[in-house]
Amino acid sequence: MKYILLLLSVFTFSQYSWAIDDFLNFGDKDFAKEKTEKSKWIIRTGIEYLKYTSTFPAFDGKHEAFENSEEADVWGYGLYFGRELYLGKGLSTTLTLGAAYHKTITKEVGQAARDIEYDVSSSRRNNQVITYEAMLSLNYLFDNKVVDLQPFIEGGLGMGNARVEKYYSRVSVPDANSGEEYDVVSEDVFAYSKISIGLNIIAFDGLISYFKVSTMLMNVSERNTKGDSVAFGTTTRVNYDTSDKDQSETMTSASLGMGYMF
Amino acid sequence: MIKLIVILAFFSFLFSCETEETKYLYTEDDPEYDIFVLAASEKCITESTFFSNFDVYEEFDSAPFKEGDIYKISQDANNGLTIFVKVEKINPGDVTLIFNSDENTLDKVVTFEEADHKSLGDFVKTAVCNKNYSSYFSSISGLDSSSSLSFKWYKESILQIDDPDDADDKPEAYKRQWSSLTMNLNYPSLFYFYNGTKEYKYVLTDGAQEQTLPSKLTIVEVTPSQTDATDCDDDNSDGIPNIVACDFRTTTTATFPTCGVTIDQDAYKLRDYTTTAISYTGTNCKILVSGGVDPN
Repeated sequence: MKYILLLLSVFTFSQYSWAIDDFLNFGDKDFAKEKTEKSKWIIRTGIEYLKYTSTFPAFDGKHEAFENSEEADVWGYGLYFGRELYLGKGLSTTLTLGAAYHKTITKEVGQAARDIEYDVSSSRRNNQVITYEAMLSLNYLFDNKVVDLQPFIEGGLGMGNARVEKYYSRVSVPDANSGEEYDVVSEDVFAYSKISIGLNIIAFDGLISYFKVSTMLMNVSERNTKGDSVAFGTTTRVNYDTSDKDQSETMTSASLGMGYMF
Repeated sequence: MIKLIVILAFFSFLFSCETEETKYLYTEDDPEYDIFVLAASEKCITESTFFSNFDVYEEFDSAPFKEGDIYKISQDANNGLTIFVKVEKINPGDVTLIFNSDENTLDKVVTFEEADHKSLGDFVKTAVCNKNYSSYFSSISGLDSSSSLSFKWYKESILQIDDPDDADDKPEAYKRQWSSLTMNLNYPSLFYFYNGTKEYKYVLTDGAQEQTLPSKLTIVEVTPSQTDATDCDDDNSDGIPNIVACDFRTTTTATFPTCGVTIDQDAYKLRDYTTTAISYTGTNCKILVSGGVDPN
């Protein structure tokens, strides 16, 4: 994941922008009039944040407990390509297609004490979400001298899949029945509708920075859960293999990035 | 400046994709603390290659040493004492060792039992792996070694406690010993006592200057030879008298005291500066005085 992000970052920062002396230094070169009042292509890439809600079997251990619904902060990278159509009087509409890849791994080790190097528990949460979407936005351009501001409102439809792993274990100390374990994987297939508001900041020569926040109404068409757990005081494994359909979740996302209009 | 902020923010993001955190579950006040001290100790022992091999060699038939092996123990290089030890016989359950030196009071025939080896292992395992004793056992190295484990053992006897009226925070009179010893599994484990350095520091009366008495013990395996250039010349054919103590062919053990070994597997709890984990049982069965400390 990091290597992909690194490559994208090199692409973003070097090939287009880094070589430009005035990179992100919004100087007095106004985005050329002939471009603002014309239809143009746009490419955007940036950091994506998604508050992803997943459903897991509840676990009520002696040392750890999980609710059956849990939100996780998942980070990723998005790449979008589109066409902005100029409608006149500063108004334009943009049709964008794109994809985002999110992956965040959180690990926690429970050491017995600061001066006892003994790992009592470990937990791992791995969230991987891939989305593909088409968006249509309505934009209005404030054509300033130094920098152009373009607020927009956007609606979109998308689909994707997610794989969420949740693992927790605690050693069997002081006796064989003292341990706890929870190891569950949930794989979701979903479609969603999305509404966003955001702002493009357009510098000279079509270089843009953008920020947007979105709310997503997600329909999880398929959710396959696999895994099991062992509770404190027993060695019996409880199996959690289930398959659910048509569950709805509302989620929040945000994006921050850069782009280029040409 | 903006460039810098953007780049820093971006790379901060890159490295936030995977986070790892350690939390500390208990403190010394929690009842679970002692449970995990013990668990950590057991893990240390279980994962140690040295202790794993130590347990294998509990059967002396499986150990690297064999009948006829001769070891030379030297105290304080050329100025001290030399003892030769021969592995005389490996029996089911024990090994017979003959100690022979120019200092006749240390001559003896020792029966070192496999049970003693195990008890000595129990002592060392707790000493080096249980953190409750880490104030006294330090500089531990070799847990992952297949044959050699070293540690430092600090012992002290307070003769006169600190005078609260003086500026320092030290006892007024004491005897302290630091032993840096190495247990080598190529030799009978008993020999760890004879392998390392010992430093004895003492102030016997309030106001006296601290005295230091260092001592170094080395042990090497030697091969009998006919030349005086070796550590163990057992022949005078080269015109130079042999090293009598190493010539076990002429040693008459009938007069040697017959000794057993006692291992205090709880010795790690003792603080007295004369404490040893090993002692000999039997009449006239003396252990080497080293580092100025006579444990006899």
